[in-house]
Amino acid sequence: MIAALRRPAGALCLTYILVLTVIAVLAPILLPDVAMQQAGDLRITNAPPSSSHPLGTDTLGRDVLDKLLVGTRVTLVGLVIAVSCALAIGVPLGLLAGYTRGGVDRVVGWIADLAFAMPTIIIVFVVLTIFPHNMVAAMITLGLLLSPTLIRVVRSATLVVREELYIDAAKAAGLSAPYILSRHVLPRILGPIIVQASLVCGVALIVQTALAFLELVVPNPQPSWGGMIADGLRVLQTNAWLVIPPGLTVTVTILVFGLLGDVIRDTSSAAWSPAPQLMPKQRGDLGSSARSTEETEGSALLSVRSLAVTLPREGVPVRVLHDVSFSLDEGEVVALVGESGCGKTMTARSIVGLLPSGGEVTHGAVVYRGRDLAALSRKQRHALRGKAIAWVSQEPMVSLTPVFRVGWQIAEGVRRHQGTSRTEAWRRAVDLLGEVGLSDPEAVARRYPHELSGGMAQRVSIARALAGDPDVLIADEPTTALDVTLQAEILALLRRLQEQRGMALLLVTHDWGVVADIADRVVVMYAGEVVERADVDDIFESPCHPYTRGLIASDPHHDPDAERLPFIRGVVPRPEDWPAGCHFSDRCDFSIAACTDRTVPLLHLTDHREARCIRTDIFEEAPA
Amino acid sequence: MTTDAPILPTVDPLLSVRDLEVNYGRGRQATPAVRGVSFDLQPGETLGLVGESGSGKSTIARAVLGLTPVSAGRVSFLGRDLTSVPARRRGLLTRDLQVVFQDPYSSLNPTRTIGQSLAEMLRAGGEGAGTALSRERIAEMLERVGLPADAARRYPAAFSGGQRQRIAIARALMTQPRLVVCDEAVSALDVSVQAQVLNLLRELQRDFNMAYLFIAHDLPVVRNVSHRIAVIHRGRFVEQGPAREVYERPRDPYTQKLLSSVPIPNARLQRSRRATSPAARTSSMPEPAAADGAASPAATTD
Repeated sequence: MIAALRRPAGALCLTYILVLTVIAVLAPILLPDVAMQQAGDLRITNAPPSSSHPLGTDTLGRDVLDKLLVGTRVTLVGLVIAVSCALAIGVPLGLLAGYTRGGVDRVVGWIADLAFAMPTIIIVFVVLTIFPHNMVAAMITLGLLLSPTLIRVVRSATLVVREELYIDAAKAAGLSAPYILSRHVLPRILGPIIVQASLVCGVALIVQTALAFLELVVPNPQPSWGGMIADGLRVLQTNAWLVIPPGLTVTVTILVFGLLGDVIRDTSSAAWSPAPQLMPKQRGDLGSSARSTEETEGSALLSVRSLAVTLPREGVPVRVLHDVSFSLDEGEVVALVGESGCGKTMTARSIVGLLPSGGEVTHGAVVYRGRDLAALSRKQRHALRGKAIAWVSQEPMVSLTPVFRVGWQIAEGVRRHQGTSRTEAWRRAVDLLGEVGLSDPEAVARRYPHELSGGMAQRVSIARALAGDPDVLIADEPTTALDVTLQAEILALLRRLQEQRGMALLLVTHDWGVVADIADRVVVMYAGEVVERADVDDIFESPCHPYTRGLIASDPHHDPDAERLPFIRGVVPRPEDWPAGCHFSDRCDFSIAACTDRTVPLLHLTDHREARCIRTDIFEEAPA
Repeated sequence: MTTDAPILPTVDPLLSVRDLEVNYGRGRQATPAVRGVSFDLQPGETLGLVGESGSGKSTIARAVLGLTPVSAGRVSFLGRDLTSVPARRRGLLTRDLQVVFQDPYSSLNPTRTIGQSLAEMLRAGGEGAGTALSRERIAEMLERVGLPADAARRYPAAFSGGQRQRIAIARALMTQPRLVVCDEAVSALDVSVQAQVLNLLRELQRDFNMAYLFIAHDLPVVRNVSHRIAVIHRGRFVEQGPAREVYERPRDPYTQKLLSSVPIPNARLQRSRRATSPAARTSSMPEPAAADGAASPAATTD
């Protein structure tokens, strides 16, 4: 609420409602005569607005402003009754249904469905015939009938939240269900509740006004907004002005409820949502070192040349890749290694032109068989994708369309790249499924993605990638979501395919075991930069960059008995927080002043070895 | 000085699980997730529970924590049978039994400050929350797991994955438990951060003499923190023994397959193993279309 005040719209809405509440409380006290006033000054009936009657007078000479002010109370009271009733029933029942599920959920669901099916306004009329002019009864009935929408909203929000691990943690800690519901679930689902409550407010206001309009809840001559509209309508031909003040008030009030609901929803989560990122520091020196690492091998199948990429954060482009260079020869397996947030997936995505929206290559090039991919038209690039360079993602299940049989998804690729007939493409798809080691490929081709296990799904997505007979296969963490036995099978499959087809493979991974198993050469990335390039044997036996050394050493595989595992202090910085100079300098044990002075280029050490470090000499004596 | 009769030191196990069975679903559709699992855990000891997804390892954790109903068997903790304790009376027992989950992004309530999340553990343990003493203990605990004391005022969104896992550990330790269940507690972390958290877990165990039930799929990690290892496959223990023995001389063929599937992070060693190991070579054979994970009854449980 307080946070909502900081926004102009929120402050305006809250002020409006505060003023309305004050009027509702004070007006009947300060203007005691108005409530039961049968008639005003009969000499000035139907007067237009003037200084003594700012909103004019009605057909019986009563002051319109006075009536509007006094009528606020009955309108608001009716509204509050209906909304509190809806909340008091809807929120607890919704929470209960969503949290306990099972029988309770079913019973609550039936009741809610039943209430939905009832004609709201007719039930309210029936209640009013039993309790004539009893607004409390009418509004309670309305609240009851509006509560199912709240039950539904609260229930579905609760269903999502109850699966969160912190709910399990709270249960395991022995906290009671009411405590968990009130402290863990309720604050989390406040947003949808507030929005729904503001909608209920609007509906309740309309119904209250309508009932008053029909003079069913507020006996004459007591003023109410709805009653005033009714009065005005009777003389619409002669004095059109009279409907405008109450009509406008009702409209504005409903709009205010809606707007306020939105503002409160947005601000109520602001305290715990991730803080908006500050303006990133843009450094001018980042682009300058590109020349030092120009690829010399012109013969490479695919080469990435001093690539720089920016992504928008809070509308501001932030550099997430800087001076990324490496190459891939025909039939070669290169592993792109690093921790999350180091830019390895972003690099792989830039190669296939699949950057997230707003992502932009600001420097460098991706060259495939001598052609700069960035210079190609969309159409040319589209033609290359899948045929020259194919992509396998980390989540095979997500990458397959759930509503089509997997055989067709592969056949679709075959047809696009090879332009064959449908039956021919299907036959080719089945062949491919056999090639990726699935027995009974005919049967697998007819399955839907949800009928596959994780290992099979990854094989299928590899088969789909092979549909265009690519020269380069880019696999982004292809085994991370799989168990180790399946991982071993998929790695063996990738190795076999790569050897049989002479395909080049670029494998993105964070797992040194996977690197050791499959790679010929290794490119290590840290904080958006390539920090080391080496042959696979060398990288394990004598890593040159302190980050590579630290990362390999922290793998518990090396010394399973270690009482204390070696580790790298700190965490990978976000792109906004990259230190000046060497990006690893603040976590490095060997950092000196020169490391942070200026951007460190990728330095050539020996054949096939480069490291982005000015202190590699200290490791020459001591192999890892 | 009073007796010559040597009395065998009968140390009662902290946690004793006997013939545990957990089924999912009811009646004819019931599928067993855990079948006849038995193990003991001594004070200050770490038992590593290794298995692949769907093996039932997380189900065992949930059964011990009382988050899933037990179909048969006993789970006794500190001499009391947890399976017969009504949910509302568990509160007192759970002071001594805590949990650290895998996902550092979902295991902390984003709407509560770190201080609130830690304080409620004291509340659950029957102690006062919100007092000056409790605030002091929260600050101490945060410092102990390597976080700044002002972390208590901030929300989970302000922390990285590794920091959140430290917070989850701090939360578990607030009541000074005797047993902490670590359900894939380091699996979601990057390698360098994972090493930091593993070191922290070991230090804390030394300082507080806690026992860990350490559940993970990563064998080298389990080997590193565990005194004993149990290997679970399709709801059954296939092998259980001292960590070094299971890791270096696995007897069960499944354990052997599991171990040989983990690639060695050294290119030369891995290449030579691949050349000699039959497991690595046969794995490139076609797999039967049906017999793969999905067919396993417990595939949806982990």
